[in-house]
Amino acid sequence: MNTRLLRYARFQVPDFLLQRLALPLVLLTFAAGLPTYLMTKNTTPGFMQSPQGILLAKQMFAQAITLYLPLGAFVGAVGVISADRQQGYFRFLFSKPVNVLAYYAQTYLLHAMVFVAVFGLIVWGFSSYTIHFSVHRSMEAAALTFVLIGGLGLLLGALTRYDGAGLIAFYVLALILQQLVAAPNGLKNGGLPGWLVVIAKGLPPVMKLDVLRNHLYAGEALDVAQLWHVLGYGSGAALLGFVLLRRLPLAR
Amino acid sequence: MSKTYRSLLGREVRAVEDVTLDVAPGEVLGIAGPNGAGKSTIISLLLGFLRPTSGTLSIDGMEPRAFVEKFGVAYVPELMALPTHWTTEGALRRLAVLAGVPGERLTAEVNRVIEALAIGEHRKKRLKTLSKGNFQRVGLAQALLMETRVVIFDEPTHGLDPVWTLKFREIVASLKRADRAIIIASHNLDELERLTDRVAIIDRGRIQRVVTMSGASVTALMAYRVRVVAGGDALVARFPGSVLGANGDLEIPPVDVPTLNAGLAAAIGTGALISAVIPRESALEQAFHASVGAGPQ
Repeated sequence: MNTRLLRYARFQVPDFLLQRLALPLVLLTFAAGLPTYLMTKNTTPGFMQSPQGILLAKQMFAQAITLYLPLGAFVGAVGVISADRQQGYFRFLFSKPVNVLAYYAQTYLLHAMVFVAVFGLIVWGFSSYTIHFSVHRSMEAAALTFVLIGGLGLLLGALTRYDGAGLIAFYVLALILQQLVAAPNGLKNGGLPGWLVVIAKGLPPVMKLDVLRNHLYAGEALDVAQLWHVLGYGSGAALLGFVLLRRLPLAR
Repeated sequence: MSKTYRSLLGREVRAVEDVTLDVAPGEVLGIAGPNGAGKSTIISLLLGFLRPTSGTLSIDGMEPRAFVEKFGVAYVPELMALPTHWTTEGALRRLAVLAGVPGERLTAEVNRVIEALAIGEHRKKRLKTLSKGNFQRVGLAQALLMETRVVIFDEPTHGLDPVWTLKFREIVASLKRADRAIIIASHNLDELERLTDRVAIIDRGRIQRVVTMSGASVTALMAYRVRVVAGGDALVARFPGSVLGANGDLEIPPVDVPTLNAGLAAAIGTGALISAVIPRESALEQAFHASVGAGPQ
């Protein structure tokens, strides 16, 4: 990456924070921040350390994660490449001496860093009001989420203008099929036909991501095979996205 | 080079076909053609936004995308597309950073182009509030942010008022440099005639002819309109087939330059008074009509 691209980061970071991450943060404030504040304000000192308080804090934390992590990663991952291409911004950006791959690599890296750092701040703030949650483990969970969702978003953005809809479709389909495969109904692969199991396994490992995140929050050891699957899938998708960015024309 | 678009259903559209063209440093090349002729496709190929289906394309010996990524190109696209929530100054600052303007010169360079395009009163305005002409001036301003060896304008005066259309000519004149190639794609034949050294006329993806703007050809036959103050009959007698209108304008059928001058001199010698001699069509317009087979688009 050259210095002009690094200097351009000062525009990209506020762009991401104000135009993309603002929505999940506002939703998070109303869905988890405000209830937490009211809960701590209207309860007696020491309540948060009681079994009931701990349970409430954990529920609130789970709510915050459920809302921020997928939505934050989604807004950081889609509409980046596709919007530049569809709106024609690329004609201005890439008539300048700018390497296309480096530009988007930096954009995604900055989105990932801001996304993870903001989540760290959220967890730190939440911890200081309620009970202890590990900031660094939460940030690791956020990073894992962005690797998978960001990588997939990059690939879809390089490929099509419908990256947002595509990412939602992949995510939801993967979640449904993988939950069905893992259904505890006593049948092999949840009783799904073989071809559907193959599809479920070929889709992004969102169930494994969930399992890994839960292990991280609980401070438990991670399953290395699951970790590699999630990291490999996300990085592989991002790599393929970069190959497509290089091979496919910018103007279509 | 050729460029063929293929749809998902396999349908092919040949946008550019067997085009061979070279532009030398110091030269201003025009590309003229009707809508859909392939002008913008050629420009996208030049910038590396598209790749040719066959043939090769190079800038200073380099593949276009590699050249642009290394040196940059001053480019004004036909369609102005920048995020409209950006302000004029904000857009120019961002693009100046990407253009590699050093931090210590950033404000001065942005101010310079804002002043050159007289958009100072709009500097704090969001792009979405600008008129088409002012937005186009922002587009021109960003192209002037960096020193480049290649300048490409795609319909640069589209949306500009007559004052700024004239000023654009001054801008192009100021950009001319011995080591710089300038390419202007335009519908406006008059503009191309005034600004360029050569014009490639393109239609249906093919270059029909390349016209050199080196002044009028002595032997070319051209029709003229002569504004006659007195002695119209003497002129009609000198130019068979000419018609004297009620407003005193004489329409002369196509003649070469020596015949025109001889006829005019003889008529003037017998007392005719002439206030203007105007070619009915420029050499470029003639060539365009002959190549495209229709009036200007």
